[in-house]
Amino acid sequence: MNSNPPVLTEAEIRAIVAGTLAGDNQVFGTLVRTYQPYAFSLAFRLLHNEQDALDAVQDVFINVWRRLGQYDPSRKFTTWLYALVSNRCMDLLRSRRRRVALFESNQETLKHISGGPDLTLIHSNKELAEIIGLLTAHLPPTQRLVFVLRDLQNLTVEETAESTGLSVTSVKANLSYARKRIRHMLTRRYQIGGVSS
Amino acid sequence: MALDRERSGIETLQLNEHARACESCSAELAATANMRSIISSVSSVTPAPADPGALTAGILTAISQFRRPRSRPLLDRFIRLTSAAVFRFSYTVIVVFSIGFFALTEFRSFTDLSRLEERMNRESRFGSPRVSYTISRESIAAVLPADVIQMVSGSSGETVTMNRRTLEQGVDRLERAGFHSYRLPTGIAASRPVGEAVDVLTKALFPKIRFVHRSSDS
Repeated sequence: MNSNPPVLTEAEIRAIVAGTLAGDNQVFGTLVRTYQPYAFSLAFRLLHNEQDALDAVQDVFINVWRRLGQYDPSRKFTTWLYALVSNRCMDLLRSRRRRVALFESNQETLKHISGGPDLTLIHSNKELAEIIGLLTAHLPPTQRLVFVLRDLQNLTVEETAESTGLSVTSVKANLSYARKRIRHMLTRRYQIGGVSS
Repeated sequence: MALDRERSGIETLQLNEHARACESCSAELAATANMRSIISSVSSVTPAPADPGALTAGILTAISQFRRPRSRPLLDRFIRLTSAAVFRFSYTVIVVFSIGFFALTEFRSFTDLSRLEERMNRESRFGSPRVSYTISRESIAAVLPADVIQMVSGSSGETVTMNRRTLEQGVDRLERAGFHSYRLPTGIAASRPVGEAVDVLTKALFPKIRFVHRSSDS
């Protein structure tokens, strides 16, 4: 979470929850402004489509507003938010059968970006991030979710487990498979990230 | 699993020690470190919406179209607590009554012969009639030397087991209840051995009780 803006303190969140429940939606705006970068980055990394990510984030914040009375202040707000975003995005991925669509579109995009397995074409972290992001679309949904939360959103293994509802062991196993697959794809396509053999 | 960053400090030390002597593991470690560096640099690139202000405005506009139910914390709390209490009470009542009903039907002392008969008939419909009544304690021992008497049901042809102890208990209750007449349930005493046993018991030991035999087709 190094590149994300600072989070609100527990007391600030309590005040926002109380204000929102009392009918002050402007206070809720503070919560949205503070946490929408977290929600959007996760949604985008899972869905790989800006409009879909925007829709998912909007749905999630409306859901947060509706369920704010159920929020448990002893729980970290970002973990709760990530759980809602993850669920929403996984629902979207499943219901729209996006895996097929993503695979097809990514073939085109990858061709467009890489133009072949040439390291010199990767100019920046941004481009590398784009490639990694596209490669994650080839992971099974659970591996993708765990990889994005742990390695790209920088949650701890325990936070990832809480956000996904998986056990810590399952998170570690899925993470290990996901990293291996990503590395394999990077090596195969771009000769980066792999062993020399 | 050992090659990713979830490994413990001890595992890392052991792995490094091993990698010094193992070429393939050394290469694997280097690749893992390289991968870690790539992912680390990638995670620093955070996707952001083109217009964050528009996203916030869109969310707030959407929310303004919804109406939150009026906040009634005290009433909500009361409803929550009472509904939980009502649920717990109902659940307890159902459980207690279920156990009580089961206990009553299975273990109650029958003071009403018609109910006993009804129950025995009901049980015989399920193919396992049980008999738990007969004459007095001493007389049973005299006439029925075996502890367990087996009879064949006239209606279903199934074997009915009469245990002496249960018979004694059942008859004691009948006596205490002041019953002087009892009609055997259909089917139970229809077979000849049973009929004979009952006759013997009746004549020799318990003259005040009158057994009325019924055939299985009556």
